[in-house]
Amino acid sequence: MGSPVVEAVGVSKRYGEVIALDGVSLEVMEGEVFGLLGPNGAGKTTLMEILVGLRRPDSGKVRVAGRDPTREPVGDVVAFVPQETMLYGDLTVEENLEFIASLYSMDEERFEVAVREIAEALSISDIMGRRFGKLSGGLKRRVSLAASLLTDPIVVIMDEPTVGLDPDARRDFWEVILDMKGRGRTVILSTHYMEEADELCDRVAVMDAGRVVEVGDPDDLKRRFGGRSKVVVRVRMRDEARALEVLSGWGGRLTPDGIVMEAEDPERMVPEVISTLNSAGIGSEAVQIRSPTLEDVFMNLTGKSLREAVA
Amino acid sequence: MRPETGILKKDVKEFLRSKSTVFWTLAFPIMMMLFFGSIFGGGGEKAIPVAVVDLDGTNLSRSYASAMNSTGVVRLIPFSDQEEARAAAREGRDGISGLLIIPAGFQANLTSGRRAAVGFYVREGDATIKQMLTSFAAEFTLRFGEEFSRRAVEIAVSHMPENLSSGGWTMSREEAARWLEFMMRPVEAKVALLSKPEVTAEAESYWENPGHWISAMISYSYLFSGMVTSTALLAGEKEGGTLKRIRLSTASVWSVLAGKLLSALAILTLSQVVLVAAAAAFSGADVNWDPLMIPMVLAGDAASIGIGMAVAEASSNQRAASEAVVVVAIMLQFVSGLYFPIQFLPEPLRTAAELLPFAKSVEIMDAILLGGATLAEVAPGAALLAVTAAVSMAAAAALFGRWARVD
Repeated sequence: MGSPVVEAVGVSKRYGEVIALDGVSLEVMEGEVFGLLGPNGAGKTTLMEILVGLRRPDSGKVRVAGRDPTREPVGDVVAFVPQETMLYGDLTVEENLEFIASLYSMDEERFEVAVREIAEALSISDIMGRRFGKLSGGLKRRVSLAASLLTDPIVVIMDEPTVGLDPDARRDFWEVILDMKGRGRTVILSTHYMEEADELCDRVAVMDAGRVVEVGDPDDLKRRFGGRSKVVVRVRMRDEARALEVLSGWGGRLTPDGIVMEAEDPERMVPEVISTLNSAGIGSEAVQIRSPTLEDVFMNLTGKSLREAVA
Repeated sequence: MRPETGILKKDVKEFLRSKSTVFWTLAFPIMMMLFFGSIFGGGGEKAIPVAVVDLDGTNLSRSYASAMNSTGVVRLIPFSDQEEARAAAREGRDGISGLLIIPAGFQANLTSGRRAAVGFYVREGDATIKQMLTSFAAEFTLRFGEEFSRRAVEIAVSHMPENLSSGGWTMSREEAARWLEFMMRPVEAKVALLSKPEVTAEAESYWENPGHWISAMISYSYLFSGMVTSTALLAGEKEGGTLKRIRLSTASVWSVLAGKLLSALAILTLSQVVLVAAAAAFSGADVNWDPLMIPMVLAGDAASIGIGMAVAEASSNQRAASEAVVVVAIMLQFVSGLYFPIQFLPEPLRTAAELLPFAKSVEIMDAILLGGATLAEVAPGAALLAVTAAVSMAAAAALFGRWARVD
């Protein structure tokens, strides 16, 4: 891993009475994919907008690619891919890109080379003449990313890049992000999808209520804060109450995924659970072993479920 | 490409591709011009075509037809064949709604003290036109008869002695002439509807000059292409989140302001060219295209763009700002003398309207285009327009930095 390309030290920001960021400090290394994991309102977007110079912190210091975004523009070295696509529906894809290029006083020759390369990399060459407003959500995200990459930035900051995309489009987008990493770009992305952070990020900062609770690589976080593996049992709804009763010895609790029990030795526990259920005349629909996830990490660190916090 | 050029190009493309914006800035004013123009007769064909067959073919029959034609109420279309004329009127061919037949002997009767008759036939059809032609034929014939009698009296009196004496009673020639005219029309009724506002000479000239529509369309462009579009140009960026994208770039706040001003001016000028061309074609008026118009139009442009931008910049809720400015523009178009004279407004509103810069603009444009006014003559109104332009532009520039902040 290289040297820090993004640094935040003691960054705080309030909106009236609401504390959006409360002394956030973190470092993002050159060439890594860094995830900000947390529910809505955790302060992820505010932190990213401070990093790109859209907002000023009330206190604390920020440096991005060697510049202080509160004092000088960083638009040429840092790209921000916002949650909303922030382009013009009545213009074609090419016209949108041409407009964004004009905001950086890009000459025609440089623009054409950049557009050709980016369009190819993001597979949008064949939609350049289409109206932006008529594109699907996945294509809009790609074009929005293309617009952000026109200036060949060092750092790409993406706010919830896959929200609202279907699973296929999300997977496609993940490939695009990994491709950027492959090209040596530093990527910071916010997400509340645990599997996204798990799949893409070299390191993750767990954020809650404006604070960074913990930073580390996903596997390390799961090992340290994920707790024990779990056995998850799904039974028919009408059997749930009785199943909970017979599995109470293992500390079973009902969740949206089924009845969850912590396990020291899950491989040994599964046949015992099935046998107990069968003896009670309860058929199990599914029994699975679940390793610790970032959801468990979040739960253990904040006392809240990430999914509940997002909802 | 520089940011200013990029913003200009993008905004103009967006304007031309937005059907609703093009409707409100170009199609709607033309529709209003046609609507009010047809109501108030601001131009185009307003005389009702009437077929005429002059079977007398004398000086007096020709005078009768010519006098009727010159009223502007009817446009006489001569026919030589009575049957063909009757068929044309019955079928409403070429819009012909009536038939006038001047019989042979018209002049001979009039000059020999006998009553002369004309035939005026009105086509069954449009009730309003039928009513208008019927009343007009009666009124015109009465007036023509009066005029003929007045001249006959003049001629008769000129042949009288200075004083007429009879049984110790003497009457001068002038007194005799007065008595004869009095006997022709002893009582005259002046009929007017109380509800109708008093039409001043100024108001009459307003509608008599179809060239007024050129001034009206320029002022309309200030309200919609100027004020409303300028507000929308800024509000749209904030509402759509695209302002963030712009602020993320290396373009300075001043480049963005310059780009937005250029966009607003380009869209306004484009709409003015279209609307003025439409108004000139519609009115067919021969107006005074004085170069003095250019600074006046530019002052109005600056005032309207400045107001529109300042409204957007001062508003925290951009959607509300856009909606509010549309409502204000709609109200202003009816109190700024675009479609009817300010004199028609009720008193308190009229006083307020006279102070409106865009009402002054209509006044100035009318004075230059229709009256050939000089700068000195339009100076007070022009000064108000210039002050409005300066103040609103200064406000727009001062508030722009605040508006452009995302924080």
